[in-house]
Amino acid sequence: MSVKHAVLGLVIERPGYGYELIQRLEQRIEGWRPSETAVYPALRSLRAEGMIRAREATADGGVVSAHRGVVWYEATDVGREEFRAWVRSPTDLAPQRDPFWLKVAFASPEDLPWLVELARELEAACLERMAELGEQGGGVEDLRREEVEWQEIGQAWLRRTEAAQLAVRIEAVQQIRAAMKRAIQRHERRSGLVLAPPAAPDAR
Amino acid sequence: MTLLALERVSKSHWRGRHEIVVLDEVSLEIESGELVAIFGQRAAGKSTLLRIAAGIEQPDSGCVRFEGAELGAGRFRRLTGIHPRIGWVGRQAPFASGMRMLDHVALPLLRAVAADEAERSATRALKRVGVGDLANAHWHELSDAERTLVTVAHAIVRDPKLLLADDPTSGLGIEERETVLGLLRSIAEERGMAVLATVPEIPDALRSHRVMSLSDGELIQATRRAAGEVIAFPQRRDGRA
Repeated sequence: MSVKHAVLGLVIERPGYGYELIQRLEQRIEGWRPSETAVYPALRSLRAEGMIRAREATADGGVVSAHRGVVWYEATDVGREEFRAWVRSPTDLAPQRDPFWLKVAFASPEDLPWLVELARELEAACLERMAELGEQGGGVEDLRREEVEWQEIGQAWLRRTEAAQLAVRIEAVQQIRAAMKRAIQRHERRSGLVLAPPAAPDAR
Repeated sequence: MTLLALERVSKSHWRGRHEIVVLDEVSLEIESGELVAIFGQRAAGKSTLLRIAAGIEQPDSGCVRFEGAELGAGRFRRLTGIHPRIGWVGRQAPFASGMRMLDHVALPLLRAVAADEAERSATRALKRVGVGDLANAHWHELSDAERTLVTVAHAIVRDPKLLLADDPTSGLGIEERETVLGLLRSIAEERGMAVLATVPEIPDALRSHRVMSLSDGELIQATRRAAGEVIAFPQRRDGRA
């Protein structure tokens, strides 16, 4: 993902300072799990490229005095143009980078009992994330209301898309888990070796 | 307080000598006031799980506790097929095709209360699920979504403590699905009723308080993590070498 574009987008929405931008970023694209440490380099680089400029906060600049001395960033015209161009430009298909599937692809039969366990963990984590998304609302009906602004709709679809991707992941993980369990049985039948002791009763 | 608990419930179906493990030591607990969704693909064993939770079907091993007491099969079967404080949302049509929906919904009450009181309760139940205008309609006139809502009304008219819903969203459009699950959630919250619903598609589970998934006999529940904690795979949970 491009933290830089996300940060630029936030600053265009309204000026902000480092810590505040991190918080807004987490709220807005929470599902991407943005790294806090990526925000400051992004701000430096955007500033060096002239997309944003810094101004010291002052009371008469419309900024409350509690924030005096904090560096505020606002978008420049160059930044606004660059962002608009980016929004309108085509995007490549994002690569599948979940290390779980890499492990599955390169695992040997002896690894499979561990990967079955990892599959359960991954599925549980997907379900938990799903529950978090559900708490944030954004049902289709709500979004069709006449008075809803596009911003809110776009924001909700970030969550809905993530939910759809989670759904696909859960189904795929369920299938691979079943396939791995069958492969373990087959391997044990052929080799006469037990790959791993049966799970402890409370392991689920 | 835990209303329903399944404790290490196992169930197999046999096809000749071939054993199909439908539930493999499944445990779960549900509390009053929450909507819990269980996702499972076709033939994942969702309906079996619900029937066992209802006491309609017996597990091969493990036990089901409802309101703290073990739910034995057979006891209620001859009367109504199901525990009086458990409601069931399935896809069953009214038992007589000529019935008005008001009579259909009032039916579970007829032995317990006077006819006019049953009718008043049925009217309230139909209104609660948003189809108060269908009181005089007949089953064959209803859309799939309306049938689902009437079935919910039929299930809640006796004010059960636990509602079991067998794929209430199947066959419905995306907005209708949200309506049905949103309704189940608000009923759970306002009446302190526990609702256990199976769903054939995961996004349906978004409206629930908790999500679980059933596949290959295993019930997977969301891990509870502290806010902000990044997903990390723990090292061997059970300490196996």
